[in-house]
Amino acid sequence: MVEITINGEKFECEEGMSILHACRMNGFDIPTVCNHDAVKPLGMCGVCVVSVASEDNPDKKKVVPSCVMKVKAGNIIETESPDVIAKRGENIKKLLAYAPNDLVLMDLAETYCADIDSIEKVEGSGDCLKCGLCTRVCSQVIGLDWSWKPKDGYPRDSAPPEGCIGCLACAYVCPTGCIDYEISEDSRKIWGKEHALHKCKECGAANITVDQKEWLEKRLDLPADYYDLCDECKRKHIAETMKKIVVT
Amino acid sequence: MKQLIIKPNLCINCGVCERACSMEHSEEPDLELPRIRVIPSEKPGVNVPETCLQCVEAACKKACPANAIYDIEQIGAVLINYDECIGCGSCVAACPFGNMLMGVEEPGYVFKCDLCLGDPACARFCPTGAITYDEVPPLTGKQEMVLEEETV
Repeated sequence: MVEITINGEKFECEEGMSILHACRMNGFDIPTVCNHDAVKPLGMCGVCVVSVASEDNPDKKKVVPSCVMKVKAGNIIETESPDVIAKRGENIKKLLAYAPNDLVLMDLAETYCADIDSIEKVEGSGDCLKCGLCTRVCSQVIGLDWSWKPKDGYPRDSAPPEGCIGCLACAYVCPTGCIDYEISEDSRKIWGKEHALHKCKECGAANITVDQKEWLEKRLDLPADYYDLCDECKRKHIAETMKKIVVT
Repeated sequence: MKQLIIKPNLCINCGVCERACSMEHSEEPDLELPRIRVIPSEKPGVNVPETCLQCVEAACKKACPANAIYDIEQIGAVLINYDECIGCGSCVAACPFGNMLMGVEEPGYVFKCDLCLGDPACARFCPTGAITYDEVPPLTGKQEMVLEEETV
């Protein structure tokens, strides 16, 4: 355990924890855009910045992204000081240049930006912030081959990843919702690739794609017919058994 | 530990549990879908309100690639951590009972019964006692006999 100071109060937290996590755990809300707890932090968006000084030199403050900094004993952290707010606002403006109409960013800008009139839109961004959440979720959680670094440009230029299963997780986690997809009765289309839906044997409804079913089969080692029914039909089947329960 | 106890032979399919659940989880102006659904049956006087069984070794938890599903032992609930959920839907496919639900308007948004974190609204509002939140009483001799007959 290490002892740190956040906004003037002392706290104890586990070594190796990120400053972002330590602050949130102790009730300090720090906004984030490119952070997602299921994947490793990237420190890309700069919205989670805080100022950090050490006990031996409390006036030497550095404003850094809290997601990628680990707590150290004696850290003096400030989450809403003027220089933090200023830096945060600057970084939000940089993001707005990529997605000027994004509601989440505009909401943040309202709190942290002094003026947003002078933002020069980045042409051709398609609202992509290059936060890499899509690539991180796909490679670190789904386990596919989609390695990407910020210097590689827009993630969509390296999509689809090898073996994409059409799960739409990338679209779900995208902070600006800029990943397009189409859902029809028979398939999902994302990154220009169509994935047939795996349909319920009884009613034809679908929760997952055929590719997802195969991915699940490998991961969970369950028989192929485990996925035969949709959730509604499963509930109906279970009800058949449960209605035999008579409690007197 | 209390559990949600469902008695299908007392359920009149009034749907109040669904509405109570929906209201309990909704924040204006959005309306959340209910986590409990009544499956009507042709057997007179019997309907089945179905919701998450809060499994001890939950299949949804095992299936989740993001480790976003966790237990709270004190209330016996299996919960989704939305900061870790990536919306892949593996849990929906994994639940053997069909009690992990996915939003229709936003694919990827999954939700389930969270026992209202210890004070389930459905149990509070059920007019017949088909849904109660109580300690599970030990089986009486009669119930044990019925179970044995079924399995033979």
